[in-house]
Amino acid sequence: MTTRLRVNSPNVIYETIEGEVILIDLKTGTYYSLRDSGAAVWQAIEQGAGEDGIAAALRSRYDASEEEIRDAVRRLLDELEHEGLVRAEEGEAAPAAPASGNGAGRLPFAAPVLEKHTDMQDLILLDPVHEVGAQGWPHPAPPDETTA
Amino acid sequence: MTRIATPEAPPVESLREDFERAAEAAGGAVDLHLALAGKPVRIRFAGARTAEALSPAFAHLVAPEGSPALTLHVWDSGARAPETSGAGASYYSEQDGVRALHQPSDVFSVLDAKADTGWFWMPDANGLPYWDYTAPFRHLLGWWLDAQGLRQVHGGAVGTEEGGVLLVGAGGSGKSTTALSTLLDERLRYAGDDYVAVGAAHVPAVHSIYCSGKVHQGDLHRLPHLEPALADGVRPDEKAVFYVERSFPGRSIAGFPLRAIVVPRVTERRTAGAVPGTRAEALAALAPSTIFQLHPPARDALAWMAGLVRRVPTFVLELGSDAETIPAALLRILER
Repeated sequence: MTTRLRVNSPNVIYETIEGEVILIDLKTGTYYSLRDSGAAVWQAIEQGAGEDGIAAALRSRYDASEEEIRDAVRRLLDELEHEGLVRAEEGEAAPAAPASGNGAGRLPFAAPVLEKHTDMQDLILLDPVHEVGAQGWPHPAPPDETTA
Repeated sequence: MTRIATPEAPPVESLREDFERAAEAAGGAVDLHLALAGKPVRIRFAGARTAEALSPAFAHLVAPEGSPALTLHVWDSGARAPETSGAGASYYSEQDGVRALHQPSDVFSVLDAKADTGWFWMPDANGLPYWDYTAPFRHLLGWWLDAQGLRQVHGGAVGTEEGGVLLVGAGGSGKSTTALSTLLDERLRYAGDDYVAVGAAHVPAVHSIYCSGKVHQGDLHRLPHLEPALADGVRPDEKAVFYVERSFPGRSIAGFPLRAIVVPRVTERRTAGAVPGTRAEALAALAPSTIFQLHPPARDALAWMAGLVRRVPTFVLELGSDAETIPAALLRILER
């Protein structure tokens, strides 16, 4: 058994468009973007890869030392976990497919960056939406409950 | 506030009775017939006062009476509305196809999708905050549009009969200024500054919902053509509010094919100009604010909007100090 990473569904939704990943945390209102090597890491996570598999996928695409890639991947995974976007779980990690490249040799490597946007958070914090459950709808207290 | 242990929304039958009682007390129901996204919609107001307060935003969609695809019932209690900043908890429930939402301004929206019927109750039709009276029944219409395969999105839209653009971005990005600047140019029509419906069928299309427009009082000097059109009764602490169909008859439009997504950006330049943008930029400007402004946040909305932005080009509209140059920049996008 090894550790693999899972997208923190159903709270986290994401789409990849023109090589950029847009991620939204529905609980907090925070949204994020990942480009280039960050998008490649996300692609490997989607495939159920573990940390080793993610680093291997990046090495197949980018021109950098094993150590540099491993450190950069570790830092991004820590950040993704800290932000609640992924969670580690025990299980057989899938081997990540090589990150899709342009077929023209390996690309120069730049460490992945998780861009974080918090401008929607106010909306969530000021206007939380509660699912109405057994506690019922809010209702003005009847007079006999408010008077002593 | 305390709670009562009734997990379900008030029964639809009691809403029907409440509306009938309110209508009778207010001198009868006043019907407004609209064509929204090409479908007949009937809004039944309890009395003329309620109708007058909440009809102006729909003036451009008024249509002959048809067999309604949706009927909304709208009434108030004539009670004083609570002072609200709009902040506070909302409560939502969904059961057997009936969706219900209670918002902090004490507004209550219920949609029975199977019956194509909705109810909207508020304490005082003349006491709603500006974001509600300029975009009435936003949740009811959003849920209903969803059931029609359309989406209500957070964005403005302007264009011509042949095609138009969707203006996307967070508050303060210049969406409203861009949308309302189009009233300076006879060639352009106005479909909204904040919420519009979008269909992603064979040809993606925008459908107007509201002809209202809002700008910060401090930005009004940039749009001097609007000052005479300022709606009456706007409170000094609110945004300046306009109803385009009332003040600029014939300048609003019910919809058009979607030709491009435009992300306005305030810059230091003098004249407005458009540059190509990325699809990811369009999605980041469109999706989060759309998803979080409609309760409950829809998980599938991101994939839907990604599908939309893949189908039309994106432009960044760099706004300058001279708002009069915005319409020409938009027309150049539409001519591409």
